[in-house]
Amino acid sequence: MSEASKKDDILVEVKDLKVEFDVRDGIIHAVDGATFNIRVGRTLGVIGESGCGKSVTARAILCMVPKPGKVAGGEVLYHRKVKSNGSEVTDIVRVNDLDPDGDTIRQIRGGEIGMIFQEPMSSLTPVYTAGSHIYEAVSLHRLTPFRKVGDQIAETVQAHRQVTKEEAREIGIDMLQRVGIPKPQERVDSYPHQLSGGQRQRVMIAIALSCQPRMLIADEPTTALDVSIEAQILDIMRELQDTVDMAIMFITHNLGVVAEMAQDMVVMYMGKVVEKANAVELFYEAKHPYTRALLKSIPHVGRRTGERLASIEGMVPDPFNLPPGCVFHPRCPDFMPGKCDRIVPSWTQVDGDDHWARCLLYEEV
Amino acid sequence: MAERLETTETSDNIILDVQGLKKYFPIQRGLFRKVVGYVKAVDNISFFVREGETLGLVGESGCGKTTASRSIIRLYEPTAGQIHFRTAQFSADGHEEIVNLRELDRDQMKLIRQEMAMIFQDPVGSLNPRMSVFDIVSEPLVIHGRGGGPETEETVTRLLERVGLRPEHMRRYPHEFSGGQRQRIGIARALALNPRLIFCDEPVSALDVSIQAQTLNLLQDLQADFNLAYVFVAHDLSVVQHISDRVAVMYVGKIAEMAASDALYNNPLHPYTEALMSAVPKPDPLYESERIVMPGDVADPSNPPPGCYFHPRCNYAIDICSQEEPEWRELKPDHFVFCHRAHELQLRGV
Repeated sequence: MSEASKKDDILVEVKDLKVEFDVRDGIIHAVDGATFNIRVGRTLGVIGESGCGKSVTARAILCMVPKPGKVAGGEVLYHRKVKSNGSEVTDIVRVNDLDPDGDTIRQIRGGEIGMIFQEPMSSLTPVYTAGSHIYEAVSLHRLTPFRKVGDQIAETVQAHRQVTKEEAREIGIDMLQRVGIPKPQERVDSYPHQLSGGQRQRVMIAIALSCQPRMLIADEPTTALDVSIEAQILDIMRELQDTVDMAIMFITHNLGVVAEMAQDMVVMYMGKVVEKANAVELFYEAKHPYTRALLKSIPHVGRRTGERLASIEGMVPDPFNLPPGCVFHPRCPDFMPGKCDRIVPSWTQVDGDDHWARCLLYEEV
Repeated sequence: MAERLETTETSDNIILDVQGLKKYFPIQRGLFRKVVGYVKAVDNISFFVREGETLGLVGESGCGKTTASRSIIRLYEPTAGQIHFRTAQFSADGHEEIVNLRELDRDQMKLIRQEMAMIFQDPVGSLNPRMSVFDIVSEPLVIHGRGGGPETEETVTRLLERVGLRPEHMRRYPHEFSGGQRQRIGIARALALNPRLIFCDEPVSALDVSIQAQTLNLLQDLQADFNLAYVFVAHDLSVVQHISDRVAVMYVGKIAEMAASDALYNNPLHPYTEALMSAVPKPDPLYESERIVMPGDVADPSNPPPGCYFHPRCNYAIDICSQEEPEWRELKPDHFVFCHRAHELQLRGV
């Protein structure tokens, strides 16, 4: 946290980001005005239900929105450290202007911003054969069957850190050790199918972290895992964060996990960021009715009341046919007729301490 | 066919009593499919379910939760054990008797399956995409010869309304529904034959938080209305605690501990339960967790360690743990544990 106190501790700024998918049935506004910052050495938790735009936002930061999606507005600014004349200066890169196949973004992706994407099992591509394409730098984030774990880590390291094959292998062994894989000297020569699910996810983390990124995007990294392994993975991520002052963007729908990991929080609903606050404030003094309802709808372990859970009525609306006004109003317990179904709420500061929400309860209308 | 139940309980309200259930899957190798070993997916477990109550079954993936429930309903043929079930299917006057499911033939089992239903984890994979909702929900009725007439449509309408869907949904196909709605279709299908016992296999783990709450509430309402008993298999400990009256914790094919939900969560007796509880992430950023680290990986069910299967990862293990298998004992009333040292350990709950 040494740099956190400095003025320039922002690593990524997302400003009014809009991502659209132009599909046959119309345009889906997958992300519709997301604004938040990711700061050095801190964890930003992004929560929301499936389809709310969490993952698309993460992909937009890395300039890898899948087709037919495109960034339709707003900007992503990455504060990049560059060496010029021997001293480090911060260069602000506007990520959405970069060529998605260009050199700059390829260096950032995987090298400066590491990624762990959802579902380690299905990230396996079955088309690679043994030993092929060792120097190819594309499959950085995929564990390819028939190729040794060590080779795959070494490849990432080589692509981004310009070291020899032997050095890359050493780094690979070291990384496996750090993520808690037993007998790393032997495991470095294993194939992915020889590893358990938890071990595979740890290898993914090792790959993502092997280039000492300044930021890690973790998209549901533990969703497929058991609690005991999940706990280990979270510990590893926190440990590494402490040692290298890495920023983490932690995307999940598990409120328990995010409470353990995050200092800053963003809540998304139907492509919109509906609330932003620090974690303690969000869990104790949530302002937006959606956040409050989410927090109430989960059972708390150790606190069995025998009562029913407070559920959010209704369903997530059809993305082609969004309700007018506030998109949450048909399900909202604090619905104000005549207001919420007509006026689109704006992004309002609801509390002095950088607590923002998008709700008419906190606006003068 | 009728037998006496031998449990410490008064047996009147017990509807399912499982004794020493085993399910071993053979490992076959070579040209002649020679059996070289067994995966002991479920290894000598005993539990019972009372009428109208929920028994939660938790544990890490691969511990045998699903295999246990499938073996009871005889989707898998059990290797050993007794499965006693109380039913009125075999008498004309509605008189209930206790039968051993393992002794029943195909036709008798078919009768029993009217009283036992199953809800599956995957709301996409468990519904046939080429059948309409009407066909899906009425299929159990047709199979058991109760469908076909005009009353079938009435029944389906009633079922759909009961699970919170609209009757006009019955002409639609599964792909037109969201995950939560599909799970409701699965629940309607499970209710079609008025079962008394439903095996819920991870029914909410594929659902979003808000939909999960709706589904859990629905399951609880249905339980109250129809006096259903649930065997609720899940890996989410907070969900299991919320819905279950009693909970059994499984580890590598065996039940490590079984007790009333509150007793198990607050005063666990097995070190594995304690470690599992400490790993549950709490939705409170101010909570300082003291996590108990279990060294190593889950034991391999085809080659389990000697003695207590948990001893290589147990922080309290002593010599006897690696030599002798513990006994399944009732240490406190209704609190069963499978550990040599349970009586002397002071363990921490949540």
